[in-house]
Amino acid sequence: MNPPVPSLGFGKTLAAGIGLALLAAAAMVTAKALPGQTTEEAPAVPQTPQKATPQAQRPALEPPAARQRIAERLEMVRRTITHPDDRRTPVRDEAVVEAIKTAPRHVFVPRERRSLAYRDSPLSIGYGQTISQPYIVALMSELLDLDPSDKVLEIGTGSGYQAAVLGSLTPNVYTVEIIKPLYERAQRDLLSQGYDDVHCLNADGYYGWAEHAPFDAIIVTCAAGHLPPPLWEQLAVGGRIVIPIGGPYQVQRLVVLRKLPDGSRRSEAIIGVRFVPMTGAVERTPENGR
Amino acid sequence: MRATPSAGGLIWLVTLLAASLLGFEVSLMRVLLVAGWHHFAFVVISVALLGFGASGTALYLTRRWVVRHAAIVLTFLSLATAATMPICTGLAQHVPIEMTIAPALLGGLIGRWLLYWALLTVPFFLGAAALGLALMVCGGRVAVVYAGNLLGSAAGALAAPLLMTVVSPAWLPLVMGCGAALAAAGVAAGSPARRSAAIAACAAAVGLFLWLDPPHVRLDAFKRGAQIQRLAAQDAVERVGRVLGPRSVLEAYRGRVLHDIPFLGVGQDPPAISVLLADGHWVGSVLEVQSADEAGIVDGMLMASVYDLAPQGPRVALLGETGGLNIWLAARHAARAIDVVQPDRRLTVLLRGPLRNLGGAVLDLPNVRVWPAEPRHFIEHTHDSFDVIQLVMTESSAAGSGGIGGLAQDYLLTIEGLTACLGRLEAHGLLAVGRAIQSPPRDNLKLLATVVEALRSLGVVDASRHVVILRDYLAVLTLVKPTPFSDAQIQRVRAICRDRQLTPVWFSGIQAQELNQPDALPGPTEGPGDWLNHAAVQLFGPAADRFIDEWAFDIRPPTDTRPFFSDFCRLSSIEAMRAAYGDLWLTRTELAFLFVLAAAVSVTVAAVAMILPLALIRVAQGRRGGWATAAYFGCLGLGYLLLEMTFLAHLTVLIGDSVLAAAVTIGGFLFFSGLGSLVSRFLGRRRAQNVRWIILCLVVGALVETIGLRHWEVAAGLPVAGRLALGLGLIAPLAFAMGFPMPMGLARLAGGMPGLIAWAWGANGFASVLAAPLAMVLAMTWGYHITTAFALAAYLAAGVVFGLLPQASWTTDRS
Repeated sequence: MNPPVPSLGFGKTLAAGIGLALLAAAAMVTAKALPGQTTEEAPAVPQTPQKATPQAQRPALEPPAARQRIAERLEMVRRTITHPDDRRTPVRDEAVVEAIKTAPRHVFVPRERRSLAYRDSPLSIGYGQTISQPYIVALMSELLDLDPSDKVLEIGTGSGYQAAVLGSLTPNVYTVEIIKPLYERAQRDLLSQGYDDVHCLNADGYYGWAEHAPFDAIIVTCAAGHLPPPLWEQLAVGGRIVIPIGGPYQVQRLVVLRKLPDGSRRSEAIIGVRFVPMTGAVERTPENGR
Repeated sequence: MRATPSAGGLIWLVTLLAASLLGFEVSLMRVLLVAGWHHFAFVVISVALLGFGASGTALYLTRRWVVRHAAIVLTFLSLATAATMPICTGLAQHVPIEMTIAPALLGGLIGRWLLYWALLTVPFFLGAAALGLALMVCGGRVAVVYAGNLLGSAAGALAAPLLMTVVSPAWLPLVMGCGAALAAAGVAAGSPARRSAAIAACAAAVGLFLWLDPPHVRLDAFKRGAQIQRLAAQDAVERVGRVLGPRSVLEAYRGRVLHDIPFLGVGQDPPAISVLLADGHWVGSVLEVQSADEAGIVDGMLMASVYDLAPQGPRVALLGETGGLNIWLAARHAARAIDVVQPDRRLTVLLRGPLRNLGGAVLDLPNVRVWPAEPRHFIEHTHDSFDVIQLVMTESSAAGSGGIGGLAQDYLLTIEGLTACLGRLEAHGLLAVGRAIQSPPRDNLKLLATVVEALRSLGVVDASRHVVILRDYLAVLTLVKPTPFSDAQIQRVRAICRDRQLTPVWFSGIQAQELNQPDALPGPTEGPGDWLNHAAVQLFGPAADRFIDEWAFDIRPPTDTRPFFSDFCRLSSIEAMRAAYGDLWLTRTELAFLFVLAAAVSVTVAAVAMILPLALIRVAQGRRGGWATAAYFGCLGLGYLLLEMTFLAHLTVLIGDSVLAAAVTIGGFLFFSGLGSLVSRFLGRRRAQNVRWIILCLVVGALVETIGLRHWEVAAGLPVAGRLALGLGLIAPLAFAMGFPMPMGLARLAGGMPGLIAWAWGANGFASVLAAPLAMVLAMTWGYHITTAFALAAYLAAGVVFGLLPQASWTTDRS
């Protein structure tokens, strides 16, 4: 039998509540005022991820630019992600859908391309990189199957858009970019939109980010023709790696690798589009895809 | 002041200008290959050459004025050509085009592409106008002047590749421009002071431009070379070697941030590597190790499975090996002999030179022999038999992706090529081919279909027992044996899959529960297998032809007459692609064929747009001879280029070196045609039957030679010089005859309606431009024998039309 909780008077309770609220507000203001909080030198989040119950969602982020072009963004989500009008498989994860609805993709697209930000297409962001098609970003985020307590590593920050979406799903996002101008731009854009939980690093992503390993999930957007061994080592048992495979403006398939308890590998290729590669009389059955 | 230059001046101008124009065309191709992709370069060149045809239209419209002021106009055109070669090429580098198509950006890109093409068209327009005008004013010397055009072109075609060995691609347009400036010196109008001033002004303009914008080639941002350049700017990598040449610009970079090792399984961290680039494309990696003991990382490659099945101490042939990864692999498995076949000698120079202490010494292992030869040629001519033959050049995952390699001709990945490989294997030997996984499957299906046909050509009835296919999640390894895999070997395959975590796709007796794990790929809903396994079942069975017909991509086995392994485009599948992929369908379709088709259509449309209004005006004014002129010279332009491109394909196989074959073919055709043009003036040039007899001989000769070239193996024992001589010997009589019809037709016009010469020049130019993409469309669709048939039909049509050309009996100059 538990001991009874001592009862405070109404006034003391109210005072304690106000005091706690003031302390919390002061902490938030202080955190936002400090520069460079998403760099390795001064992380803005606790080192130990907060535990959360399964399926619990993070409090919704509100990027300042999320209030812009809302109608476009919602239409994009409806037409290309949740209710596509072609043969792609819809994304059902509500947290992912919400994250896509919130993330202001146009901020992460170069200024001269912003009019196309909500088109159903990858776009060049310079330096030989592209910002992925929104559907692919949503699909990859869904495939990562993240809990709010999960720790996720992204290799190839690029525009920062994928990291922003992941930042709405978990506070433990670590992203690595080797091209310095891209890293600086992505970091700036993430900060400006309040994605303070996204930790950025300018380094060779081949070696992952050992200091924060193990990771529950990893996205590898720039492959060297094989899975980097350090990334496999930094993946937690039961974790999954998502690799988009295809050339610029293509993502022909997503490969999801899972690490089994014995350290071995299982993988599955997700196409996301029902396309039976046979014409004529033989084409009858839907693709055995996701 | 002479209004019309002297004959000698005209010959000087035409010869040098033709040399610089063709040299510029070849140089521009080199620049575009460095900057972008093969199919893009092909399209750009095709469209830029529209300048040739457009010059004819411009000359026709201004014919009276330009003839009256020929000397001044020729001077201006020559100098303008000289200046615009480097300037327009330089300006084009600043046009922000993207050579990889982004569907959302397509609308905005089109305008920039048009500007890009327009810039590159200018030098061709100006130079061709000068050549056309020279032909218009040379009077009775037309045969000699035209011969100068051809001989000059031959010189340019041969000089350009030589210059590429010492001149960086960015500077080539300037060098070619100097040739055009020299051409102007022969006809420069006015006093010596004025001539000098004109040339000096041209040089000053070019100099100022180059000072403001030094020559450079802007790499497409998505090329591996561009990515590595960005890393170099961050001091993360350094360039350790660079070799120029007509084949490509070869570079080697090293740095700890480079990790390009394809098809490597999960295992230990690889050592430092150097990366080899050809025109910005990755072609190989060099492990920075000094012995096989240090190269243990290669045991994790997919290819290592080959040695689990190969005999002990195998004799190995690595066809297309570049950086030595597979040499280390063979060495670690105690290969008793390793034959490395690499047609580009410069790779050997790089490895044994600046990379020697960075792992390049792998070529000097005691049991390694390096053969500088085309792989197909090596396989056809070697007397050795092998336990393992590995087709290393097929392992690039870039091939077949987005049409990058779609126009490339590969004579090894044909039915005949694979048959030759199987024929050089020991009875227990293995042919190993690795290829990246495509989605939906394309490359590996086409490879399997070709393997099946190759086995059938060797008398194998049940090919399914001779093939094993394994994969991981990135790549497929296809193993083929001349004799069936034994039960013990099949059990060994199962063990390999277990130990290396590979997924079996096909072997004889494979069970359903073995399929599609540990790496699952999509497949038909009935059954657990992936599409690769499904395809294997179909291709080994009686419904193979139907399966090939119904697959969404073109997976017909390539042949020597249609050697385009990386062309997968099926026009009939485009609608299904659009329905499935929406706006991104274009990126899922193999682009090369579409690009070539687009080039052919656009050139045709442009030609019609430029010529048709003039033709209608002529008809309205009652002028005669225009249609016959356009038809005759158009057919000549078509037939000449189509035949030349067909011979280029055949001689590439005969000679066994693509660069030498191009030099011999292009240079040989132009040179001997030039000689034919010189001799043509001694014939009764206005007698139609002379031309018809020549064309008939030409057609018969081309037929005989084309059929004979299909049995090129008779030249198997000849050294390189002998094959070159044989190639030239085949070209000489044919090209000599091909040099007659054009000047004979021009001479007929000169006697009857000289004003139609511009018309003829334009029609010939347009047809020549159309011929290149048309040749590719025909060859990729039906094969080079159809291309030859079209060429010969064009010549026969010209022979029929010759008699309709205006001649001296037409008393009124109504041109």
